[in-house]
Amino acid sequence: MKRTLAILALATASLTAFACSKTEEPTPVPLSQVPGHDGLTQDTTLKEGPRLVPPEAYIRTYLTLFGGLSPIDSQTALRGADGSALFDTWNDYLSSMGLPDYRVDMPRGTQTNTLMLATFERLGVALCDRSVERDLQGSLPTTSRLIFAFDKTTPVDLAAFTSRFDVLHRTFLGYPAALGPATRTNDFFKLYTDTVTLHSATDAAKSRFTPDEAGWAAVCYGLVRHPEFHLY
Amino acid sequence: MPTRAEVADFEADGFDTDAWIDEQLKGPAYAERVRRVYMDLMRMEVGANFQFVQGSTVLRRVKVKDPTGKDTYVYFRGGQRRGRAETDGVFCLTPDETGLQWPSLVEGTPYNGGPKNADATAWSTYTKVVTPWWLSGTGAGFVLADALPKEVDGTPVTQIRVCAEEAQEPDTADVTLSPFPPATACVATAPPFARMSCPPRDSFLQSKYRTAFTKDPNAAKTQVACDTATGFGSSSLCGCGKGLVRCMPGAGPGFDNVGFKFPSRVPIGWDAPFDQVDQTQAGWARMFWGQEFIHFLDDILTSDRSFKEVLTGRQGFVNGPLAQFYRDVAPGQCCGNGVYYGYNEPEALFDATKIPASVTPYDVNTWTKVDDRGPHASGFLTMPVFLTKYGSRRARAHVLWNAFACKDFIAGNLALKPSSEPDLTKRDGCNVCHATLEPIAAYFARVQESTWVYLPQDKFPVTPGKPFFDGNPDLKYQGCIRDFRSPAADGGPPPVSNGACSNYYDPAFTYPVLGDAGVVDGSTTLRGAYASPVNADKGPEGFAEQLTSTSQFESCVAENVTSAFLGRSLTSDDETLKDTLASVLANGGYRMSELVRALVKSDAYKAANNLSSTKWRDGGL
Repeated sequence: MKRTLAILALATASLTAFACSKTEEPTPVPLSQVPGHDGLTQDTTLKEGPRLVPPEAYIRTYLTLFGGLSPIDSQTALRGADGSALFDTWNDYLSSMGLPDYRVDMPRGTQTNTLMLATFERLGVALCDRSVERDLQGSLPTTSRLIFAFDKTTPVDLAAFTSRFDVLHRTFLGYPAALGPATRTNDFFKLYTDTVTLHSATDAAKSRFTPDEAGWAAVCYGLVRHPEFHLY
Repeated sequence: MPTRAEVADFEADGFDTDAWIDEQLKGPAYAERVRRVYMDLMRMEVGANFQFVQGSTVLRRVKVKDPTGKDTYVYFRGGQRRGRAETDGVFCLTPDETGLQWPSLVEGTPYNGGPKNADATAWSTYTKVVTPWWLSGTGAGFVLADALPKEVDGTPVTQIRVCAEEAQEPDTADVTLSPFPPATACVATAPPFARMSCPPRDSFLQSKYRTAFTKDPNAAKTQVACDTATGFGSSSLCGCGKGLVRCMPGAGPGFDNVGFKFPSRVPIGWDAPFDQVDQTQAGWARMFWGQEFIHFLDDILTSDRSFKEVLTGRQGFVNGPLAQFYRDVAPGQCCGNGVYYGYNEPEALFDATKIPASVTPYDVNTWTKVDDRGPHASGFLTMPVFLTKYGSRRARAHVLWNAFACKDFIAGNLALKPSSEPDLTKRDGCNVCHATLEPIAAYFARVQESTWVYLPQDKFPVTPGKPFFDGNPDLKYQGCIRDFRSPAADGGPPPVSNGACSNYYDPAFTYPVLGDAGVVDGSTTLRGAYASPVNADKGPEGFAEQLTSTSQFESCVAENVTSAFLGRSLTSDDETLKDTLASVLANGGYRMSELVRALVKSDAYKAANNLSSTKWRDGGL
């Protein structure tokens, strides 16, 4: 025990001597000058994510885009007679779209979920495909076309694509493409050209659409499933 | 989503945003947006779990062979009083006359080697051919179920065959006697006349008349209204009225059969249905109860009137089916055991005489405004959709407290103890909520639960004493209030609680009344009224007045609408906004457009989606 205390006293004396010989007294500074201690602005304002478009508004928009048909007439047109199973019935989709059913006290869906997104996807594809058939495959004048309200031209370069994409952008997202993210038009142009290339390949799968039509259909799919089409 | 044209307008120089907002606040889209707030809160549609299949209304049909052997449909009402004990209360032709027995709610089953051709004399005596109302006119939206306007072989019909009693047209009729004598025994397992059930006995009014008739064959006969359940159950002279207008058809013998073709759901409006399917008469009524509320609310919003009218307004809207409902069907809920109180004809919440005679049952797509539904009408509080969706007095009070006072009932963290205290405003634990709820629920004490039958004050006083019952011989002997001065008064059993008493008065709130000399009387209480007899007499309109007379009303409206538009619950940070909008609403004559205009121009609304999708994906940073 005595031996242990002696070693401890020696060690303490040595450390004290070392410290006194090497350390300088620091100059006091205000706390604000110490790095990391300056004033930080805290943003306490409420940050809110976009809200889900009410299914009623979505349906009305959808019907308007499809030509203002009644739900039943649009259902007939969307189903078509080609056996493509593009569309079932509106009643099959209403609940998964988040529509409340007041009769049974089922509340409104206010958050997206996988089934809802799958439903939007299915509805969107049906809308785009039938619109390609009507607007691009038919002989409607440009002014009568509902979705693809522009003249067909091939090949489509970036300049030609930009003006036509703006029509679609305004149609689905409600504002000019130029106000969107800077790369959006180019991204969609790539989608268009990639799709045209795929459909032009000699070993491409058989399609109801020409490569150009398939390209525009793909652009339409992209917009109709865009979050800004479902959220606001 | 704006159209391309609207986007182009918005881009144009000189676009006036304020003018654009003002324009939007006039249209049906605005009304629909605000209506959605309150539909989400109160879910004002009634589903099939509310079975509206009242005996006096539902016309079923069964298949029999006519005297020539041709399969034919014959329509009838289950429970129809008839002159023959063989058929009283059931189908109008006997097993001997048709070779069919008649279990309830299914087609006839073979009897004694049947089916056989109907007996010609019985056929012509007990059935009639009529042109029913549903085959007498047409209108846009009025579509019958596929099977209804067809005969058994599928051929279209313009007339139908119906039991003779149902074909009777009078609006009122004398009470008749049950053809099955009271003293005659009937064994349920072996009823007479090859029936499947014993013949019905005398109803209360029939029994009363029988007593008088026995004493004096010339005794005055009681008249009953044939559109009421009372008339239906007490007179074989009551039918479905001219053209069967008091009856709703169904293409089958079941409980509630398809009769009409209409949309099953109309989430974006009646004019934009998602389907057209065969549905029942109950569904027909339920659909238009919901549509009545929508038209009522939309009118207040689009005509920019005080939002208080949602609760207080006496105006209403009807289309053809609703007009028929109020005129000819709604009275069929009345009056049950109210007959003991002399209540044979309903005092309606919606005075059907206010409906223009020009409105026919076929005017499905045309809605007519009724400026004043009557003295008991009060906003949607007296509409069938509300009264059936929220069947009990407490449910009605609760949802209104939620939706228009923004208050809830949250139980305290208390251990409940066994208690015999019937007064929930006093019972430990229960009183945390019920001290508030019970007086509110009392406002609905005069509207019977799960229906729209109003109980008028003169027939049903809130706290009648023994003299009230003793003054009515029909009630005196029911023992609604025992004689508390009898030796069994103290600690004795509650009064006899048969239907005549307990349907309307609560045995748990029947007390002795003390005077200087001890017990001088007994008193009982109208069901649901014990916590506030005053509120009970004020009725639903009293509650509407209470809800709309405090600043809580505008504050709650502001909270509900703002929360819906912002897509989130309000927090304490939103108090200033809420208070501002509440003031705007109140100072603007409670016109909803004032509130919505201020809301959509507020910074909170403009920033309601201030988190971009890119930031959203990055975690909101």
